Amino acid sequence: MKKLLLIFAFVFPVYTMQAIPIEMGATLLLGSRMNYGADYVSINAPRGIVGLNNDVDGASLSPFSRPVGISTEAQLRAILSNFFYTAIGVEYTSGIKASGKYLLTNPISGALYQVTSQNVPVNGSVSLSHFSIPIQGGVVITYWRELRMYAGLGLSYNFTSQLITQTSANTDLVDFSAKSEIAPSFIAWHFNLMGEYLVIGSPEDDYRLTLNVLLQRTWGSSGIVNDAAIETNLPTGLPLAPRDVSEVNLSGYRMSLGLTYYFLRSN
Amino acid sequence: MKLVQSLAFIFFLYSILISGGYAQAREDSFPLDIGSGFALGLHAGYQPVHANLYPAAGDQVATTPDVYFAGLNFRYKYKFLFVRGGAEGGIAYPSATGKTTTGGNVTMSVTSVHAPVSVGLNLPLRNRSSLYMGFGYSHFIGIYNIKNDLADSTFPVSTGGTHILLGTEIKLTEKGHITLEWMQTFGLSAPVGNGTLKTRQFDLTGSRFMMGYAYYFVL
Repeated sequence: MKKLLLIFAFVFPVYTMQAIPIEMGATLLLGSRMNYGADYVSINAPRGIVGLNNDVDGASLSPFSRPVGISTEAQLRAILSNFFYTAIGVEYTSGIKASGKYLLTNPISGALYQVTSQNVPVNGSVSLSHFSIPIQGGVVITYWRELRMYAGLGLSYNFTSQLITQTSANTDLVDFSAKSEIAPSFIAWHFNLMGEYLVIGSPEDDYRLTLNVLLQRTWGSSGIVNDAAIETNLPTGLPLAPRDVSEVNLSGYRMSLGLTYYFLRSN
Repeated sequence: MKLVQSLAFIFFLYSILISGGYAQAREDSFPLDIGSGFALGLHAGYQPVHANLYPAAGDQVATTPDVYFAGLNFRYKYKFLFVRGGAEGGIAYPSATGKTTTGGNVTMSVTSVHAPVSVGLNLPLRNRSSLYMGFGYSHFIGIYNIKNDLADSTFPVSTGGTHILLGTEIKLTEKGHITLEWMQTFGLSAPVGNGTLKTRQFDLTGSRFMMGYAYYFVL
């Protein structure tokens, strides 16, 4: 019985797909991920990078801002029966390196750390990039023949690389460098809303070009990951852990513009 | 409350999609018309969870205020591209309330101005309606008042950020359009505070839901 069900599960879609209209297109998307990497929470920054920000009059500090990622994706999409779609792609996103200058505080109490009664300025930076393979499926809402909206859910497998550094900005006072470097792989979920507008060709053409705009909400994080390296140069008493642990968080919004070339139509 | 907000958000997005279909049903014999146009508009809206607070040591605001706002906007459409700009002033109602770490009361109230400029794709639905999706720069100016048992502090904040925008226009008359928009903003203030060490920041990330009316002078 199980074998029969398995055969049916494979044969039925192939059989039905022969009978339904299919369109296929290749899409190239370019855009950005806002708040890329979210908070960059770690043991040395338990409230994330924005939690490191502080200011003291006359200290010439600069706060961390949240990083933005530049994202590009190549996607192969099939539209079934003019109403459903499924897509697979490859995406690469590289974060614009974010940095800040702040005074070193105890990560737990928030109190200023001082050496010989002087505040310790720190240069911090974060960088993140990831490569992912997203798949998705959903419905196509056709407004007239020239315009379509895609609404779908999907998941992606992500290979990430993240580096958080904190180094002394006054090495005469105290010299140290602490970093957290992790490269976890994990699954993330996403919801897509994409508009598509026909710019070259007519809706009946086999070959045609469309303009796309994508809005995506992503949910997914690695969970807490151990940093592989243990810092050996941290002075005694410095309120930074020798082995930092942190997480990669890809949750957030993505906005992209793109072009789709439709190259196949059946029925 | 999160569930209610999530359902409201989904309903709002659904409304934007369906409004296009409604316009389609009313006007199915018109030819495609993707001309250019310039409009001035009025809008009003609501942002739940405005200015999530990164608290200073000693206080914990348990809730964040919801902001109601109204403003003016301009929009220029050129075929399938659009530019939209404007400004909106908002107040928090009710004020956020919470407790300090020592058990005292703390409240937070907000008066704010948000000025976004967006560019993006305009997806026309014949000549009756359009969907548009875009992104752009946001400037936030706010006066944040935080009152606890120890102090009554006012912090002026001015900072830049970004946003993404999804909206629809439904044509009522030849030049008058109803607008329905969702904007997700991203922004974070610089640290402010009363004492020597300033650690308080205002997180201006959030969703804005807007309805309005736009009048096209040139179409």
